[in-house]
Amino acid sequence: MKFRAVMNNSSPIREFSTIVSTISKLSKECVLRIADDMLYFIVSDENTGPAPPVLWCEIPQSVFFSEYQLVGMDETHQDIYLGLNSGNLARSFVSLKNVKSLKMKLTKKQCPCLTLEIEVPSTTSHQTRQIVHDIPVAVVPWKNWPDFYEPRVPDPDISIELPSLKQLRTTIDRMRTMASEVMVRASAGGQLILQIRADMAKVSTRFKDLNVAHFDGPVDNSDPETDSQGNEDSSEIVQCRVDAKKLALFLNVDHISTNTTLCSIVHKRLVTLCLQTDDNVKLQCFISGIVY
Amino acid sequence: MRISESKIPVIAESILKQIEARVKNTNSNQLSDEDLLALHSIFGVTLQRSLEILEKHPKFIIYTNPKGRTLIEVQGDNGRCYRVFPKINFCPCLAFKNLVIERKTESAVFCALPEGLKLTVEEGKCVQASAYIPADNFTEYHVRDDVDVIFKISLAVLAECLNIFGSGEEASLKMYYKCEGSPLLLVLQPQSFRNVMTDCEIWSQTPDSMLELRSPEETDVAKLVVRAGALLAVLGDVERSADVLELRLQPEPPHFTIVTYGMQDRSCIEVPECSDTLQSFSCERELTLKYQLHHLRLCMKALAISNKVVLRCSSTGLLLLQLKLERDDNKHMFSEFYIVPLLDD
Repeated sequence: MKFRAVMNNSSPIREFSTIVSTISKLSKECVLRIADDMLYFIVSDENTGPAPPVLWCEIPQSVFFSEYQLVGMDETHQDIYLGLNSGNLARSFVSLKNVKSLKMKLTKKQCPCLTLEIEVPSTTSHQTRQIVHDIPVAVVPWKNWPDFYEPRVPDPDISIELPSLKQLRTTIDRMRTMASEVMVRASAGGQLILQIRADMAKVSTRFKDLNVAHFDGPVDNSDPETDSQGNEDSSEIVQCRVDAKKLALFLNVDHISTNTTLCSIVHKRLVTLCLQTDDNVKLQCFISGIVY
Repeated sequence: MRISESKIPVIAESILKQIEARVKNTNSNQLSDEDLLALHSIFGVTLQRSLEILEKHPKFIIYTNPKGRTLIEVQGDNGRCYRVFPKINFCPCLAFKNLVIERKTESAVFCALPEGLKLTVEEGKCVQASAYIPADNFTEYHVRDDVDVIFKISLAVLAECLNIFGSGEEASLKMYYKCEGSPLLLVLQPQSFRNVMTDCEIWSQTPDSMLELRSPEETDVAKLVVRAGALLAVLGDVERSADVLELRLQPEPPHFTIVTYGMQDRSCIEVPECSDTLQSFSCERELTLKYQLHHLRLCMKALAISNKVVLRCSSTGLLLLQLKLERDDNKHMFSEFYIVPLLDD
């Protein structure tokens, strides 16, 4: 089992560090899967243990690393799965301002470690300083790998492009103080509606003119729970009730400079937020629906 | 502002009288379970707590001085003796502090008058604060003048709804209210993004009666006009641990003195009449009034956005702070704080 990778340019290093710090905000523990062409950060729900992941982040290695060597566990198991504390990893990147290079490797010290060797240019001379971080990791035995496979989700009924995440987050944060659950609705006409029902109020925020990437209608909305929106055909509205706190947490990803963020909804079952950057980094959050 | 009087005091009084009559007739000196249930349905938790006090400390001392003022002394759990005045809703005990004073004001009375909007909150029956938004601040403003538009609303929810796009975002707001029992409707639209809109429906409730802290025949004995920034700075400078603030006003110099008493210190700030902090000063006679500093601190946030404050002391010692927020476009908003004075020990 061997892993060694080098990043030489400061801009991919900075982007990598933003991704890691975002993940550390979402969860204390994460699993880093190292595969031949991709790096994956996988987060499972802390309460339910190793269940289908709630966060799935894939980073194509060729964009970030100038050198990349991987020897897997054995012939049939060519990947490496490492369980680590995401905070430890994020903190190791804090010292990075103008870094010359970053070397990442798997080492065996007192325990298995992911070692980061960072080379920083000195401001006074031509020599460089070297910083070494050893992050203890737990190697996940291959028997447990299926816990961290990409979750198989049903085909979404609708995929709609989200408005600015920052704007969405302020709204969700305000709603969160009033109610614990948010109804997320998306219509084929390009509307996204966030709705809460609190003890003292009913609030709904609607975003108009959004791009609908995909719509698989019509949807069966015949039960009485659905509010009729009057002018809009209810068979064109896909909705799902989710935990407001989880949604707000996942909207924290707004630090990553994104290309597009898609929100896919499986009617009454699942909301998936999928964020894609210019460098083809893909971050997906799965928020399961609440059904009464 | 007229609020329909709550019927509860009348019902409470009549039930108490009925029970009194029944107890006298039966000579048993015992309250029946039915009596207790009837009392509990009116007073709730308060009844339980007061019965608890009666059981633990059956000794009550009631003083009546020649002027007819009454004072009740109750022995507390910690051996301390608490003096309570009937009809004045204040007790120096910790329970009162925790349960009444420090409880956050949850709802505000929302009142739409033809002249403008008024929102009123009360804290611990000792402070009453109102915010006025005159009608000319609104682009459009219609109120029916044949009905009282008044209702109670959760202030926290209202604030969250108004900030739904974040506090830094300028948004346009439309407010609607149909009739008694219908919700207050808000429609918000931010100015920088045109494709977003928020509708809020906030349930309204029938308002409770508000405190009438100042009777109409009361007159001012002192009136000061102060720069809001200066008063804010003074309140900010005052020692954090201090809990009592004393205002001394006198016709001769030093005209205006602020004294605070803390655990170990006493500080004194004198403001002469000629200083530019005091824009106007009038005082009929020498006055020394004490207030809870905590109550005065409540108006600091409003002071921070205001330009001018008028302080008025009435003959009963009630302090009224009138704050004026001047906007660029010559339209003003106002806020008012009534603060009940502390009585001398």
